[in-house]
Amino acid sequence: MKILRTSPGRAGGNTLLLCVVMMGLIGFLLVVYLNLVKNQNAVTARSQGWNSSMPIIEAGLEEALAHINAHGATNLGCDGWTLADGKYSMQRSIGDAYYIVRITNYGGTVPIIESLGYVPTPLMASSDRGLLLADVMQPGTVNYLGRGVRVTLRSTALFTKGMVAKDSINLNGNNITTDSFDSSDPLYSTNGLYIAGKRKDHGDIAVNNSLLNSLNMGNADVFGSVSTGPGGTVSIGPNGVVGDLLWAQNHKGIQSGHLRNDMNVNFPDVQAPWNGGAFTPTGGWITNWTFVTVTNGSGVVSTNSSFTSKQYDYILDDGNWEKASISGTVYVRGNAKLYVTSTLNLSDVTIVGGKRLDLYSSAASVSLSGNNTANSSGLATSFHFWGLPACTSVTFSGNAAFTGAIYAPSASFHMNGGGNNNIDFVGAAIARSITMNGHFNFHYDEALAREGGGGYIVGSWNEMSPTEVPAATGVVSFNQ
Amino acid sequence: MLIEAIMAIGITGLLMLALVSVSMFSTRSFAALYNYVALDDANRLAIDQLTRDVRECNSVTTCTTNALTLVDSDNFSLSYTYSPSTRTLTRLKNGIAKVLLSECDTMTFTLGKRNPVSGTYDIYPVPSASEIAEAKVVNVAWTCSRAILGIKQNTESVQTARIVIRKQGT
Repeated sequence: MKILRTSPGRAGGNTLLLCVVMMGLIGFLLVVYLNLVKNQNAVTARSQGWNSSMPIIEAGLEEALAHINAHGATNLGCDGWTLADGKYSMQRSIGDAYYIVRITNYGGTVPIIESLGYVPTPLMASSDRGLLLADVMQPGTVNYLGRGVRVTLRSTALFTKGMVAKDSINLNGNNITTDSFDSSDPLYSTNGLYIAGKRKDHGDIAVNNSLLNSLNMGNADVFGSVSTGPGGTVSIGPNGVVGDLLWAQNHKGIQSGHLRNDMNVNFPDVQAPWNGGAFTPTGGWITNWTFVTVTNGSGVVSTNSSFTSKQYDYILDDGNWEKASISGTVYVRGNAKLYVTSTLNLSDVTIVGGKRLDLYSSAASVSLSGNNTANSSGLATSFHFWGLPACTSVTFSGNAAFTGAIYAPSASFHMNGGGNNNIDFVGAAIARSITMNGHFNFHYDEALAREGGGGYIVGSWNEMSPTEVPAATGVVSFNQ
Repeated sequence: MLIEAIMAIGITGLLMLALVSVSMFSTRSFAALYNYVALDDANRLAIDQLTRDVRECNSVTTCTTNALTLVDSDNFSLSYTYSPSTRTLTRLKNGIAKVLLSECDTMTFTLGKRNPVSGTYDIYPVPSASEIAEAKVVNVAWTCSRAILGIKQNTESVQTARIVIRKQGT
């Protein structure tokens, strides 16, 4: 048998070389493909980690805010929070991510919260094994992306505006004026009292509602700004004015920048101050001596030249007081809380200087009337009226002044009368609706905005630089 | 012999045709994939930068469909400007301009207030420049695309975001 043999020639080598080159080319393209896809996956995963870290950070901020608002700035060592290096801190996991949140500068007026969020990422773009092997995970290791936010808090107050209503404000009367002063600043008050020559222009009025004409200004002079909810409108008469004191001298209407439509405020209900365990107030006579200092040849001599005696229906000292019905006059000579549950008709409230009355009422209808109505010669910060949800109507009438702060979010607040002087209502009012009738002057005391009551809120919010976010401990990690 | 030559030429032609087809498809596919990856990377980086800037800025100064100017957290101006002619989105801060996006087809900025519309997931818009101080939310949407051999392929990337300015209205 004859077998034909073909001897390999040059063509065979060329084919093999061509195959090798082709395979090499295809392999190179495959590597490039895979590398491109892997890098895309790394970028996607990193971006997802970057963005998913923000809810983790915000969760830490929320917990810290809730903690400091619940326990104050100086009693933070509770609920699992620990103190180390002058910082109260908490670490908590959310799924496979976690946050570390710290509160610093808690003794100052501006506490600072630092929240660091760490989320796992599937890839290690900065691996020392190189990019190609970056996705090879070591058993038991978790890679974390860290990101941080530093928030500076500020305390807020309940009475940050002069007149605020949930639903509507109606300024019906003639020559109604709202302005402001500052009882704690001698530049803007005299002995804590309103003086027309020292007034300011922050007599702001606001409604939360979005209804048509929810704020009816009439021809009032509002030296300040007005706000409504989105879509809410302001009705203003031809002689009405809203703006700065200087601008209002020569203009009518609403000054540019003094009308906002983004009012969005919650009005929490007032809770009963206690459940039982309070004194029952009684009345009596109060005698006030007036001493006169005279100087004779031998020196200074004081003599009690006169005294006045007045009977009050109720006299309150330091402590908690409760009664179903209160009608008549009240004299406060301590720091007192008075809770009235059924009927409340006041004709005179006198508060001794430096003392304070917090008047809680669940009476449906409350009346403040008379010619010497409420704390007329005192400071607004010394008298607070708190209307519980059952309190649906508050009426202030009379020719004397009311000095205090009214918070009755379920009540219609009517101000009638006003008399002929320029001291009618000094302080601030928050109610479901507010109606002014007659000749009324409303003076917002800006000192109320500094007495707190609104808790801490975010004042500044900034991301921390990558170097300020330490790497996660115990695991391989990288930052930002 | 002629038949063998014709067969060889035919088979070679078929093989060449297949090879050319595969290479053309692979090239197009690779170009499309590269375009997608490049677009996606640029979009992600741009949206990450934008969200970070808006979230921690102090306020909005001006806003038009194609431009957004902010007061940054350091109280200096920071602007994002889209140029329809060059199809680029540029970030300008402290005199330093950086192109964040190229080959960008559309870009819109709109503002929202902090108030939600009752019964919906929407928010009230800021209707005019006079109410710019009430801006709490920045809405942004853009589309980018790339072409292969002059034809737009499926490499369009659409980004939309609603970013809340943390320091506004708190």
